[in-house]
Amino acid sequence: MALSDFFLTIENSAVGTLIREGGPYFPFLESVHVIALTLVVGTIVFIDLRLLGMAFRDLRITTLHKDLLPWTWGAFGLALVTGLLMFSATPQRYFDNTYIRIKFFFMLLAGINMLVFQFITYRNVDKWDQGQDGIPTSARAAGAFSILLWGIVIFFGRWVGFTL
Amino acid sequence: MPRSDYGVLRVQRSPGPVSNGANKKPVTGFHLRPRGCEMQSAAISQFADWIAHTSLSGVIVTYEWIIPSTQSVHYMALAVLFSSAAIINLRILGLISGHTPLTRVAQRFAPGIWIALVVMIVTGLVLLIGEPARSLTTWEFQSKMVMLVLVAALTVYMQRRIADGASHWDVAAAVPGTARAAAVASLVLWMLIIVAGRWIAYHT
Repeated sequence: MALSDFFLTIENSAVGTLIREGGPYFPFLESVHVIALTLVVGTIVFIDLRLLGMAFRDLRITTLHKDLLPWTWGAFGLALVTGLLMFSATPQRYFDNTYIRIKFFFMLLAGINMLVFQFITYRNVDKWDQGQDGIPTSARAAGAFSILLWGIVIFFGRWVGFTL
Repeated sequence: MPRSDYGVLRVQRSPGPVSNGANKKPVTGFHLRPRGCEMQSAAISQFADWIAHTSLSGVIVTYEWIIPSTQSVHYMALAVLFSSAAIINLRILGLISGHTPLTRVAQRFAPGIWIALVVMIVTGLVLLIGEPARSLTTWEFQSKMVMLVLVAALTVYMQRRIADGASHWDVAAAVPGTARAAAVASLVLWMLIIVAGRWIAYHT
């Protein structure tokens, strides 16, 4: 009950109303959301492909990681802000949407996969930073799961647009 | 309510390709177009109509999952394409991987642009055949295609310049103004292409 009241407050706020009724605002936010999410997923997939030995084999994993991650997080912030603004237009509808729930479930899994990689697998990256042979199975698996999970996130995210 | 892609859903639920929006009058929002182009618009509209009546188009709109799934693959390829292009352009501007020579960065990331572009053209064709009128006859799609040709030509030119041993492009401070301008133009064009692509869904 409290949640639906909260959603109603957001929906009736100046920002929510403007985005819902203000012509180009929603498509514009959606476009920026797409630009941001392509950078998020693209940079993550590059690291995944490196872990799997399918690209950038001559590049140190730590170098790729260090160069790309600030852009990944910057773009993630942008996707989050634009996503929240789109949400504010019709919060209850989004909240009730099955596809968006599935999307966030898989985003959660992708996040857990990333945390496990970052804080457990990546700790001894010094041993497998260069070349391909020493990359542990756990790191390769993290790369494969990451590609799969982010692909599913995009799939359900796209479905949201058809079901609202 | 945000009407994102609602038109597509409606189209998918309608039986047969006739109600695919293809019989709508050609969009004539081209205020900048010379009058002589009206014939061309009619021809494009007829062509769209013809595509909409093919059996392949019928199949694509009959199954509700085909268009969203194809769009998802289109987006996954876009992630690779735009990130690859962004990294090369940001490197020219000195904003990423400053420790690595530009030639190396371009060697690594340029293939991603072209491989992903092939996937995007194939998936794009599926979307176009499914809903030809929504794309072919709209100024959103047409400007997207013009910008795509421009950015592809610009990318080929820039990659040749980099491969030709423009080694002074490697140091951000020494990058010539034209190279920086080209990098900014490339980034802006790719982003406008994404915006135009999303705008197709809102064409009225």
